[in-house]
Amino acid sequence: MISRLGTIMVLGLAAAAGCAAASSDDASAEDEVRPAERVIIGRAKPYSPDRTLDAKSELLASSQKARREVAWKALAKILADTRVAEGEAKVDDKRVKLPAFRTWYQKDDFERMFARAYEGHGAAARKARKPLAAAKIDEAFDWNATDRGSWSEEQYFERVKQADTRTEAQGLGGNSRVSYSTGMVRHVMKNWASLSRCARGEVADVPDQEPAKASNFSTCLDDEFPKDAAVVKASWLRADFGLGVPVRPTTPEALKERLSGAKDDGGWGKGTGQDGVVDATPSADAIYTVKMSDGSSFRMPALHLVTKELREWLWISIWWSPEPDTDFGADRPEAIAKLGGPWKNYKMCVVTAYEENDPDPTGGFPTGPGSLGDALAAVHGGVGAPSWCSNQHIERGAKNAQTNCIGCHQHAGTDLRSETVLADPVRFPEAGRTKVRKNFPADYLFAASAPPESLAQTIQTQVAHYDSVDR
Amino acid sequence: MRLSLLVASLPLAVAVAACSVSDDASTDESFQTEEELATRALQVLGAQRIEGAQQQCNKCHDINRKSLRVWESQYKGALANLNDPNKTPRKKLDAFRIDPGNNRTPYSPQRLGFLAAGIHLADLPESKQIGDLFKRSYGATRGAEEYRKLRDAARMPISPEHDRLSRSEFSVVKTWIDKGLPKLDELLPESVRPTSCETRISPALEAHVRAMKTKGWAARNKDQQVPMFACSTTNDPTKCFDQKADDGKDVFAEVETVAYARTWKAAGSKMRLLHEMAHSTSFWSRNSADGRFVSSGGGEDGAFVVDFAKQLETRGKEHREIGVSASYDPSFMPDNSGLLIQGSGTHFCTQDLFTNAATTSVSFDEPQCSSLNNVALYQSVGRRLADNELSDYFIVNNSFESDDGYGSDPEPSFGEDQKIQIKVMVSLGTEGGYTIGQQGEVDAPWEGDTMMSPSTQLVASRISGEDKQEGYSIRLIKSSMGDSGYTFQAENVGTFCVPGGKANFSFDERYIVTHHYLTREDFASDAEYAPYKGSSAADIYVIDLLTGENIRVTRMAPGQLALFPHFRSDGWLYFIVRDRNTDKELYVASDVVLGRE
Repeated sequence: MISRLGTIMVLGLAAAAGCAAASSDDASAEDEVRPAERVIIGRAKPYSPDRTLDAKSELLASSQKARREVAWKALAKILADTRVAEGEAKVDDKRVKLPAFRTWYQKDDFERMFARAYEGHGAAARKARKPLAAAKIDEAFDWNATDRGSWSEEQYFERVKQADTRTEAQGLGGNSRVSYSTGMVRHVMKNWASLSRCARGEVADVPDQEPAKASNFSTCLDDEFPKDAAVVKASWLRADFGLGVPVRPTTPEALKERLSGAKDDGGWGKGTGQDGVVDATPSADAIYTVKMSDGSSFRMPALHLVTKELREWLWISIWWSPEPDTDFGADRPEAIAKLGGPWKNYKMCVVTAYEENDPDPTGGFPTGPGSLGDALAAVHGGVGAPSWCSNQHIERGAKNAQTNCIGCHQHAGTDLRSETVLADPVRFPEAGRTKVRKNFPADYLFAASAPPESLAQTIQTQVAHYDSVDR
Repeated sequence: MRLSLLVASLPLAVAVAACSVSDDASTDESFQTEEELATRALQVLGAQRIEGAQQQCNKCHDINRKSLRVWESQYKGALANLNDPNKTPRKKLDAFRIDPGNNRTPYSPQRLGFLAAGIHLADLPESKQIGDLFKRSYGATRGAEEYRKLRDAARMPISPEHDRLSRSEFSVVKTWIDKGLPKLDELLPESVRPTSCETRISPALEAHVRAMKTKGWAARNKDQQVPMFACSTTNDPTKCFDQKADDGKDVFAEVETVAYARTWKAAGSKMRLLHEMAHSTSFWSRNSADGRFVSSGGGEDGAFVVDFAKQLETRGKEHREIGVSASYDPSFMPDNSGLLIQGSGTHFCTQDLFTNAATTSVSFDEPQCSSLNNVALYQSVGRRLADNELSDYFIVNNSFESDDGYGSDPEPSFGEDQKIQIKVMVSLGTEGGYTIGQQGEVDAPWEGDTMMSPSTQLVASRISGEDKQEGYSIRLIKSSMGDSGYTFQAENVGTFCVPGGKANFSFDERYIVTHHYLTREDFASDAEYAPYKGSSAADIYVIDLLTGENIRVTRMAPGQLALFPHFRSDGWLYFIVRDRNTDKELYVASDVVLGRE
């Protein structure tokens, strides 16, 4: 007998996000790409950075059009399909392909690889806090991509055969919130000792202290992340139990209400059941959807892509819309449409700096009903005012519809929580969008220390374990 | 014969209970016949077969002939104790404790029987009598405090979310009990309870156990390289707990080297003392998947978590205990992600809260904690296995018999209508967390004290026989996801004919483990049993679900109770020892199943 009780109490409710990653999030950090799925997928497809972007940072800050072109190009790279390693993984007799970012490493990959490399590091090197040798890191990557763990060959191929529909095949990439490019994971592993110091609270946070080195403004890393470091933060919504996707309009009028604080205290509201929010139930053709091996299904309504191609990172966010060609989807280039699948149904915003320096509020885009120009103008506060990019599915809580990614992420690696930043307009003006620090402890990477990713804590767990037994 | 029940119209002067009693102080209920009285009493108690049954006691207990007779017997024992002219007031009160010989142990509802459902009523004659005993034993001030402790520990329902009986309701029930439960058998007919037990291991159970060897939570945590506590080599459980203190002694002593524990090991190659408690514990203990933490009721905050890592880090010089504002029933998640615990509601905290060295106590206001409604006591928690970061958790409840950790195996009284409840903690996605979004039920006649395996695919229940426990039933829970949620089936796939308490599964789901309070049947002769006759003892038993072998893990001396065993992910087995001889409570680890083929 089954009885639906409806929603009684949410466990592990993620608080204000986006400004999200530094917030409490009790979603379990359990593994999602298990050894078997990683073997099917193979090594992650590295992110190929545009190494010329840093030189264009002023242009990008002063031209919304240039900025959006760069963002769509970056998206095209990570959304493009790539074949999985396992030749027997097929749908309709064709080798399974996943969007490139779906091959990236997830926390469980990191846990396995770091544990492997750190154990192999040896007691003497661990105690001396020596860096991991590049070869040791390579070996961990190879092992992770080829070792199917406890599973027998029969169980492995059973899993391969199980993924014989499109959504099941997409499920091979798991449903992790955060995925990391190869360059990012390597850098985190290389910096294990300094990150573990931060995890232990041994590095004081002095926001107005000048960086020790001009080339490194972080305090929890020996060096800033490399250009090929990129991270994706995805939002997944359960597609079973009749659950849908809440859709909030991003028309100029709607955005102005949120930016002024007139609606939902400047946030995106609670979603389903709120004023002006409708639930959509898009098909798997219309929205990126995965079916997991236990039969549960999830839709991906939103995604952040953040890359280190700029020193202060390139901040891109996309969200699904039932009216995809209006406002923030109006300039979607052919390169995205050509990718096929659901990607033509996502809208996009982008930030490259704390401040908006484009003198044209419309960014030079057409204006009129449903236009991108009017939407951009609605979030344009004037030259020198804070920039804007906020995702309705990821940023949670009051004022979080007013944010710009970079503002909150500057506090990554500190104990500051997003709720604190957003609630304190004196210390953190303009909904936290203003640059208030001179150093950036975790190089803007919330996942380094904030739950549920807490990569530094993952490192520290191993460090503490071996410290207690390495005697 | 006309039966009348007139409840005096007295105001409830003292609100002794935590929750309000919706009392109709001037109720006058009258009954023409015994059947009317019995029907009304059964409605009040919540006997599901009686039309108009209230949702009262049946939220946790099955109301059937046997359970009512057990409570009746306990109630009569309580009254006899209160009215015993040969006992001092203090002795009478101590008789209400879990261990009447140990005045450090808490009071127990089992010592009160039906009276436990009425002691929140201040003007009940028995309440007044008990109050007077406390005053005479401890004085006015301390007596009131002690009385509060009894009510807090022994009143029923214990959960503040559940309504207690009003004065008139209790009076109806009491009248019926005092008359000897007339018409009980007529109103609650039932089939013949199991009277025998035959060990059975089905092919489906064998197949499940074999599959879990590589696909269960033990394999999953191993693949994920979860560091197991006190193991010097990843994924090698044979190299654990062998660290030395500065003086060269073991940080975690082998039991053979400790005088009072010398005889404890009955199987396995290693048994280690992990931790000596600074205070007593109450109800069950559980450990985290990695074995770093244990949790139980007890301590100043109501419950606690012990972090063994502090002992290892300081080579035995320091201990770390984190107070938790809860009461009992901790359940750690099989993926090493967090702790669920009961007390003023159900609370969940992620495990990083406890790994954080700065955490000294937990109030559940911490950002790592959240609350769940509608989870009954004695829950067990499992997580579905999949390539799914957001896979659902199942919480299983069934009727239960409280196990105080002293005395004898709780007599199961589960009825024919027994059902296993499965609550689904549904993942809403990355931003939505979890919600209890579905509740299913599966029939399990005569079964209760149900515990679920880490993968959610097996449950083990105690079988209530005619006059004793008839072993354990193992059911395979098949859950399939459809458009509107899960459908559940529960097939019996095994029966194991040993006595004991609630049984817990190993992470590879090959074994169940339980404790058993020793009886004459556990000894070869009267002479061997003689020292145990007046001194309760309990041992740990592991049952191999593939072979049916029953492995006695411990051999405790009289007055020593090995209790509440629980596996960690790599197969090490933890349990607690209450040693009444030395007045110690200790956590102990055994490698009994490691290395078994």
